[in-house]
Amino acid sequence: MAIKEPERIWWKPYTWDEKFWVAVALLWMLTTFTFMPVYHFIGKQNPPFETYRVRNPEQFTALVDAMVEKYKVGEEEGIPVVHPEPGSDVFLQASMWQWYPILQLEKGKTYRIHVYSLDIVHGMSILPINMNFMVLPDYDYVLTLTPTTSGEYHIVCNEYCGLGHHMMVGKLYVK
Amino acid sequence: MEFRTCSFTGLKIHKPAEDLIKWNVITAVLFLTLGGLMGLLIGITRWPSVHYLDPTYYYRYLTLHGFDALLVWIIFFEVALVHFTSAVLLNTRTVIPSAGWIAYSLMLIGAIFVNITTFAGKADVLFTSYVPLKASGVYYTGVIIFAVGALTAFGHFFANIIQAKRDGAYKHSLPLGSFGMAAASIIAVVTLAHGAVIMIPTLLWSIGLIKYLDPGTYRLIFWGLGHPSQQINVCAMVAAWYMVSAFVLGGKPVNEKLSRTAFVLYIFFINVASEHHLLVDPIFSNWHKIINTSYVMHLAVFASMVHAFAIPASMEVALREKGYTNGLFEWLKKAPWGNPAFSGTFLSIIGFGFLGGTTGVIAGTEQFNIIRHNTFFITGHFHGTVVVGTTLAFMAFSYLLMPYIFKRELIMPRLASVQPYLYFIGVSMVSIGMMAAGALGVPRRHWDITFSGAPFSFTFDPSVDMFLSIMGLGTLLAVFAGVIYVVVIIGSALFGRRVAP
Amino acid sequence: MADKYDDEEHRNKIEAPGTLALSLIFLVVFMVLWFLHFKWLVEVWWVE
Ligand code: HEM
Ligand SMILES: [Cu+2]
Ligand SMILES: [Cu+2]
Repeated sequence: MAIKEPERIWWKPYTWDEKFWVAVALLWMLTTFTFMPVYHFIGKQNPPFETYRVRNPEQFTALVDAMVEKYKVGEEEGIPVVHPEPGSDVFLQASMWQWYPILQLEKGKTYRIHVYSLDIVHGMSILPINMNFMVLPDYDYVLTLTPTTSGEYHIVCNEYCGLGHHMMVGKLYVK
Repeated sequence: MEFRTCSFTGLKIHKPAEDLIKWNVITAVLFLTLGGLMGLLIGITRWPSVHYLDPTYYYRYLTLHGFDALLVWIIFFEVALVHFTSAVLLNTRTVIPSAGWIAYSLMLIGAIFVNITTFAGKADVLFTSYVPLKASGVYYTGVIIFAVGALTAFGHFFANIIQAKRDGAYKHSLPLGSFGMAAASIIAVVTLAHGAVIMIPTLLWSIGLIKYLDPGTYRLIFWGLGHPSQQINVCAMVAAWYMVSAFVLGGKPVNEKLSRTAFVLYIFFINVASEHHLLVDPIFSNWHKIINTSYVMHLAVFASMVHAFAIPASMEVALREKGYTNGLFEWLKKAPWGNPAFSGTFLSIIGFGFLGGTTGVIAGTEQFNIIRHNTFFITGHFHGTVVVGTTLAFMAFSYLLMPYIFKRELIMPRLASVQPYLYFIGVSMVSIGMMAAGALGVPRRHWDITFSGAPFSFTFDPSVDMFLSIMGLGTLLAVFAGVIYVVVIIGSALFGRRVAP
Repeated sequence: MADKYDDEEHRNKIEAPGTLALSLIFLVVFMVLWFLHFKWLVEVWWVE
């Protein structure tokens, strides 16, 4: 009994239903467990990424500015829209409370998207496809993504980043 | 006359243990009241058609809700369980009661520090306080004082059982309830050590003595504290389940060996699983994440599945022995559904498994996490574990503590007997509403999903409105049931009819 | 009491059939939710 010291016979054999349940539960857990590494190969649904330390935020900002200058094709709400070369390195910078700039990507092309935060922790939620990544200061998070669907996407911040958190919305186009 | 004999259970109860349990339970319930009030306010803010609070207050109260409900209520109650299982259940004494009171005072002072600073607007950082978001130094000081108090309190468990062994209170092994709390206390010590490692530098950083804290490392160590502390809750909750089954029905685990092994699995396999909070962070490689979360986490989940079978099985066996042997489910029909300690426990088991458990394993899977991380789905998941599961289990257990420890009958027993059902339904609606909205991308910790004032606006699937309204209605029901609980417990403690000693 | 478990029959007994049924229902729900997530997952952007 859970409230008394067990009698010495508590090492009694398992009953049939216990054995059965333990086996089934263990099997299911082993399935979910093996699934992750196996799916890494057959599903390829782990986002391929690399990470670099950023010692100097200005360096990152300089890269962003260079990209904007070179590939700018328009502007929305004061935020530049850029159409970088397909297959290239592109930059997305988070800060309180803005995603900068607006990227225009091409469907089926692979990009190395560098995301980085200038100030505090933000969350990058690409909607409506609902893919979510953390964006940290001091880390250049390089996601290798291949947009497979075209359309207009929004990037919503989903980690609390101060009072203007709910206004931190950006855009992303896939053509 | 330091000991009395409980007329219900025959347990010999040490007066200082009894006092410590009483004060810890009452304090826990008061902080649950505060946390629940905050839950109401933020709940109706996230209900689109009400959208009650201003953003400043929404984030401030969200910080308090997380802290008061998740940490203060639960840990105070667990400290009560520490004394219950290491002294009362063993018919022995609490050693050095003054240490218990010191722990109690530290926790109370720490909690008050945090509450005052946050109410004063000096710590709008949410309870995770991810650096470089900065709160006032008083906030971190409060957290540290609270953690030191909690560490002392869990340490008390070991002092008590060592003394009990010397006194011959048990010979070979602890009763299962105490065994579960022993697992909880071991995890607590490890966990709170992580807390010190991260919170002390953060305090120094906030007052300017340290220049830089790495945000990635902070998140790693913070979750080294945050995730295993949920495992303390799970162990304590499961221990409470077993004890209620034994007290109410005389149920005993079909096989104690199995249940004990499952507790041991918790101790070994859960701490490292804390990385499932970092699955979409830049700091670890995919392989690291896969190995860490898959292998280790799933053995701990396996342990939960074992308990989730063993406890209802113990109830079933006990009820079958009473003669309810027809068909598969006669025992279930004839169970004491009117007893809130029983119904609360049973609903807690069901809710924890179906709502919290399944969704937790899913969200913790490397690949699936990408479509769930930081969405409202996560908030829905842990209201399934920590509210329908732990909170409801503790509520149920406290209905037993009223006669056993407070020596009072419940006031309004009718109301008390429907309370677990109302709470279960309310919080399940909250949880399911959140999860459905989150699956459609609605973010957590977000004041306005119509994005007023933002340069661009995203429009969610129209069904989101309905799911958030389900959450809103659930909020009202859950808070109503919460009020019943608080009134019954505090009312009984103060004015309940005394039971014969 | 003690002798009850000594006999061999105990090993092949089902002591808690109702709980076993409930647990299996749980398992099915778990699996369904799990596999549904695959369906949702195929839409992300690095899957050919
Ligand atoms: C009356 C019952 C409750 C209601 C209506 C409720 C409602 C909510 C709501 C609406 C949120 C905000 C989610 C967001 O906007 O991101 C939330 C967050 C949270 N709740 Fe509750 N809750 C209740 C009880 C509890 C209890 C008893 C606990 C702990 C044992 C708890 C733990 C938490 C935690 C840890 C968070 C996350 C805070 C954060 O994201 O910083 N809740 N709850
Ligand atoms: Cu942000
Ligand atoms: Cu934000």
